[in-house]
Amino acid sequence: METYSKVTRFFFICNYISRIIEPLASRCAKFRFKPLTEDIMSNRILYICQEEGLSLDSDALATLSSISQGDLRRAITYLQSAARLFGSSISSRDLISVSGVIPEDVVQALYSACRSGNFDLADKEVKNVIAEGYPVSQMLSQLFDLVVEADDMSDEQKARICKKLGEADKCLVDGADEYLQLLDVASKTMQALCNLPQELSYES
Amino acid sequence: MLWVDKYRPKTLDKVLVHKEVAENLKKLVTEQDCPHLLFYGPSGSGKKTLIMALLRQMFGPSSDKVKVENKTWKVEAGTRTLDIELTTLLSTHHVEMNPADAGFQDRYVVQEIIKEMAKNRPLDAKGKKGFKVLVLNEVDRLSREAQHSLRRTMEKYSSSCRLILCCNSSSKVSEAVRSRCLNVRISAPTEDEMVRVLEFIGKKEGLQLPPGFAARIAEKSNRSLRRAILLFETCRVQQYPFTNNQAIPPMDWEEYVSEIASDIMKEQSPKRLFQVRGKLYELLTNCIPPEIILKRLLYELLKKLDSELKHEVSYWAAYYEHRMRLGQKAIFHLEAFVAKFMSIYKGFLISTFG
Repeated sequence: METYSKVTRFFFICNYISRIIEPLASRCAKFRFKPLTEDIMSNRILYICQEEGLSLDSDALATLSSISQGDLRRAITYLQSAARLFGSSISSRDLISVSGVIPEDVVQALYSACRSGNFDLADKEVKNVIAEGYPVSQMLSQLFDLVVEADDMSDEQKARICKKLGEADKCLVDGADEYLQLLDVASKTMQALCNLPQELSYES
Repeated sequence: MLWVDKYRPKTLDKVLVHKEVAENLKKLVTEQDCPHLLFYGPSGSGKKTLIMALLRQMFGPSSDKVKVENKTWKVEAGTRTLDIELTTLLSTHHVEMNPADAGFQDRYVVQEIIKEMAKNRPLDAKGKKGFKVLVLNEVDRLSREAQHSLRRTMEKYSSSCRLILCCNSSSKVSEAVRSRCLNVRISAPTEDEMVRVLEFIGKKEGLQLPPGFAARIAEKSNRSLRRAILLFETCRVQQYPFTNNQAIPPMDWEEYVSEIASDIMKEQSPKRLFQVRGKLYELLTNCIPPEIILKRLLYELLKKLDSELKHEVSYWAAYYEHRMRLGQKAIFHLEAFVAKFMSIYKGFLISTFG
């Protein structure tokens, strides 16, 4: 880098500046890119809709910005997929179905089954999630959002659930079975929510 | 011909379940072009049927004329050449294969085949350069490296071929591949939908269905349409005309697993464990996948257990299944689960009854 600085300029692009070693980073002028604000994103999306002749109501726009999580490229991809699949008038349901996000009521159903403290009910909900073909990794991340934002449980309960979510996610990455992992998560969530003893009681 | 194949809908118009998806797919390919597609959903939900119907919609009846080819691919991998044998299904417009069968060499297969397809691009009637479709099954079984190389090849040759990927769980497909495809979720058919299909087949075959019979088959088949139709045909062979209370035969391996479950509920001892080992081997040698055995075993055990034990048992099931995935020999982990269960259950019995 130093030897040829007369004839060459480097442009580095990365997601995390902390992953670039210090000697490299210190030789560059740094530009930080913040996630796009909602205004900018919705403006751009609306512009695309206008150019492409798509109709998008405000509800769908809100959904789009929430499922894309500040990622404009992802938002545009979803928009295009939805437009190709469903035609020019796009509703928020269409966007959810192309994005692979699990509808809120499905997550809620699983959560309330765990809350009920009835294992068989939770098992039934888990089976349902698998049969509907929802990706379990997605389910875990949406459950996580739900748990973190919930205000009807103690911090300790949240921590217990989140710990299990992390473990299950790792197992899924290793290729473990989706049904068993989700069932385990549901069982642990139930134990945390209903204050059941968490220790493995009959292990000798 | 099995009914499963005989009554597989050939075109998107004739699809009985997932009508909405079929309609959308039809719209998608009206301009003779489509993005890469990723179909995911549980088995027996109709992914393959929809893909075949979609190909027919795109290319007309010629996509039905497939030939099976067992080809050896010569692949340059660094300094040496590898020979990889793989079965492919070919038509003039598409190639279908199961790259995961190549084991740890799956990466080369994916790259090589796409490259070769890209080299000889078909011409369409107007002399325009067309594209071929590559159908890849079981992408979730591909190794991480293969998935990475897949995404590179997808981008590089996107002008000459379209990929249709098919898998059971999209969690196991890397985010990068998923985001390059249009994801289509195929849910398992509901029992009502299955009943409708069974009744349709019954009508076509000219069979008299007693009321509630189709519903009972649908209930037994775990939301897998393929299984429902197979069960239906088995019942037909067994006894016709159908009677109202005709027993629907369970799968023999399921019966076997349920036997194992009651065995280990009855007695928890090393001797019993040894007997169970024999039975597990029997299942494995009959090519029942170990994770299916474990899941079924859990299902059978959960039916019989007290609710306070269920949490613990399901935890260990998940634990041993995960280990099984990391390890090599499934029997160790299956047996470990059985032993663990015995120990837990015995502990429970002692603490309850003294």
